[in-house]
Amino acid sequence: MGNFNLGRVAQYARYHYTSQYKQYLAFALFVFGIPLIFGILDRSIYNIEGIALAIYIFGAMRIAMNQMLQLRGRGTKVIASTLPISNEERFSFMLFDCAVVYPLVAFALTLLAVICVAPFQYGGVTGLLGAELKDIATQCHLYWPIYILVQIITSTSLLINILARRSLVAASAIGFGIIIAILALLARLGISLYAYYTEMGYVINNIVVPESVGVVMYCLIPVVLYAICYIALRKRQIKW
Amino acid sequence: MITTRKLSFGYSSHRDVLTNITLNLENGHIHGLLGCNGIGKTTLLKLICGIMRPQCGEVRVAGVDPMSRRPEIFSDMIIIPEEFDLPNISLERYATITKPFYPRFDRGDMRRYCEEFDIDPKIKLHSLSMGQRKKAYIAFALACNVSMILLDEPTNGLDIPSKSIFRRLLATYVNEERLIIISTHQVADVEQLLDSIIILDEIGVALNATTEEICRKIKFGKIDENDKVIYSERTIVGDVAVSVNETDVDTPLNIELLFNATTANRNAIAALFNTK
Repeated sequence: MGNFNLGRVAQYARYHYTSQYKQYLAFALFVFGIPLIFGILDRSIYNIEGIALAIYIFGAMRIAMNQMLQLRGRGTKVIASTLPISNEERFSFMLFDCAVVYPLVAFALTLLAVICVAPFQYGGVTGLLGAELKDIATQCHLYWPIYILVQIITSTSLLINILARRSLVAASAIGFGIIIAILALLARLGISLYAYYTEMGYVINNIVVPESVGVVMYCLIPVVLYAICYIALRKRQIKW
Repeated sequence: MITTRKLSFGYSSHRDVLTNITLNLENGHIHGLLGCNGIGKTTLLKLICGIMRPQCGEVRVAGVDPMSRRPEIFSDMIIIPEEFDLPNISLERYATITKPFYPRFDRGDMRRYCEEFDIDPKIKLHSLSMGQRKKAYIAFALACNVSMILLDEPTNGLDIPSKSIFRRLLATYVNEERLIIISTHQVADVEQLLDSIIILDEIGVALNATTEEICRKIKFGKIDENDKVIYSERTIVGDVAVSVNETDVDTPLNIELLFNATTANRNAIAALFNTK
């Protein structure tokens, strides 16, 4: 029995979803229901995208919170912490849930909401099968800058949930404040560097190089945050 | 087997809860963990489970540091906290999703234990009272057939018939390969069950001995003029004392009296049992 077993990760996933089915069900209804209600009231699928996107971005915090709900809960933390599963297995599941399951399910539910609203706009779903669906797929949930943004929020929220001792609200305010400050600092640094090299006479005709550096750095932020989450989870101990 | 060596822990730098705890808890026993409120009994159980990190010293569970969170350790150990919350599903469902983690789990055993406790495993856990929920989780824990069970105040919330069922089940559960630790203040509930007593105090381990050794070395009962009295107290049935047993005759163990004697006259008890 090693410290990592894929079968045990699957068993943990089953345990996690079954024991927290109410939270996941409520959240799924929220992700599906709110855009649906707005879409029906508006008799248009065009506003769904924006609402669904806002729910998707802010819902990332809830998904991260769900991962630690039992490990933080007053009555559940001892039993949840002593479940025979290693930190590696627990973290693998968290990563899978936050980085794969959540974006795909949120996307699928939004798509479902769009399909449900379509008859109100087109009098059927056939009119929908074309550009709109393609737009949602490529520019909404699975559009990579949004995906990375959601992963930054998820990983930050996960880290806060792992580290926070008492007030999650206060810890979230501080945590997100720090992350926003770091992002602003990185953006400022990029702009300054670009200005400096232009001023120094290094004429950059092609913007692709600095843009690629920016993209890599942007993508690396959630990777680094998830790595910190893993270390924090390994070191984590309950207080009372 | 669980060992701790020079274990110390504090919730803050200026408040030590456990100091210099060295214990060697062998299989085949039901160890009773006693101590005043706030002395660190629950903390010690959590340190054994690896959910808290000692400030100094070490804990070993079957030779392994529990902080390493190796699944094979935890699949052979289960803790029943004093207060806990379970998902709002039936015990049957809970067992279905949890049994893959415990290779020796036996559903037949669980149903039998549930029958003994008069609990329906098909009822959702949140519709049970606190005491019923505790019985349900005890039934599940025993059905896991693990080698180590740690119980924190297990009889709190149990009704009178359930306490005796609990004692009976635990007595039949323990064997030479299994170890049970019961942390409790309700000594009367588990007095007949324990075969090893650990008493913690501010300094460390005040007493760690088997009940057999205690009864061989200590006499409980009314004061005799020739007795070397360690501690005495006035009760409604007259004066009772803990004295050095200089005869071959054992007296029935009185854990409450032993605990009071250890608290009041630690040095005399420590000298008798070679405790530091």
